[in-house]
Amino acid sequence: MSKRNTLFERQAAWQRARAKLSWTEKLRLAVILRELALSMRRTSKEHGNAAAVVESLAKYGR
Amino acid sequence: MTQEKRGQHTTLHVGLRPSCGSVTLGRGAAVVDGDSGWLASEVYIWTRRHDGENHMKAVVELLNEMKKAGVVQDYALFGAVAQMRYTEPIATLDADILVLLKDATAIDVLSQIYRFCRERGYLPREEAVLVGDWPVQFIPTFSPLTEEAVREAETGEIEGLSVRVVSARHLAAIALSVGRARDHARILALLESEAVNRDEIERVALRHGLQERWTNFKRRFLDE
Repeated sequence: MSKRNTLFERQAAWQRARAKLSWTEKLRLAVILRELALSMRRTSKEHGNAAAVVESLAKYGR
Repeated sequence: MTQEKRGQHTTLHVGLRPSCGSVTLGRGAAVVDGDSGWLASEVYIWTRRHDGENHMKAVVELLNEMKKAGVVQDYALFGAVAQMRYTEPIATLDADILVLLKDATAIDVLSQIYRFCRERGYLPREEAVLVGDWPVQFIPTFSPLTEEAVREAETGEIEGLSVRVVSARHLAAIALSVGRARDHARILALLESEAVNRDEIERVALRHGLQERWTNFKRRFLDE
């Protein structure tokens, strides 16, 4: 199996493990995810594409 | 977003770094292979430090008070917030609440709910009522399926408070009836988390005239 497949499997396993967190904790994470998604969406809108997002965030030292 | 190369590993940092008072949302192995062609073996996602207060507790208190005061006959959390009881956390913009009203034929069925919220300082924002950082959307039951979902809701717990929440089987059946791509994803997530099985969804689907949709869903997504 390629290294890339192994990495995908590790990532999937890590995500599945989060289902075992308490509902309260998952809701707390959901709020953080929402903030992150909105922030990335705003940046993406401003710059047009994913590559620009990377450049923009790197430029501002984030 | 920054990249760091350490030996054979590439690490991605997304969001604010710890020096900015942020916290780690997650760390794990991942592959990012978009236009830029990155391959990252570790991803750190940082975000601003949360104040620790989960406003969902205020939502639950509001809902329980609302039921106690008789503004609604009953309620149940549904949508993404309910889904998270059973699956991994997902990003969602708002909290959806199914409400069973005493008089669903009134012209403005939600006016009492909005008045109740306003009296407690929770004001409307667009189609929702803002409770802390959660826009809460009240949705009157709109079908025999959603009525059953509220009547047969389970009791969950958020920050030590009891809350009514739609069962996984009803959540899946409602998703089946709505039928958008995200609803299909919800059904798959519920099945994957083993919160519900195919037979349980099928029983609810049959009761509510969703047999054809369920058959199509199985053929399309479950290789049946």
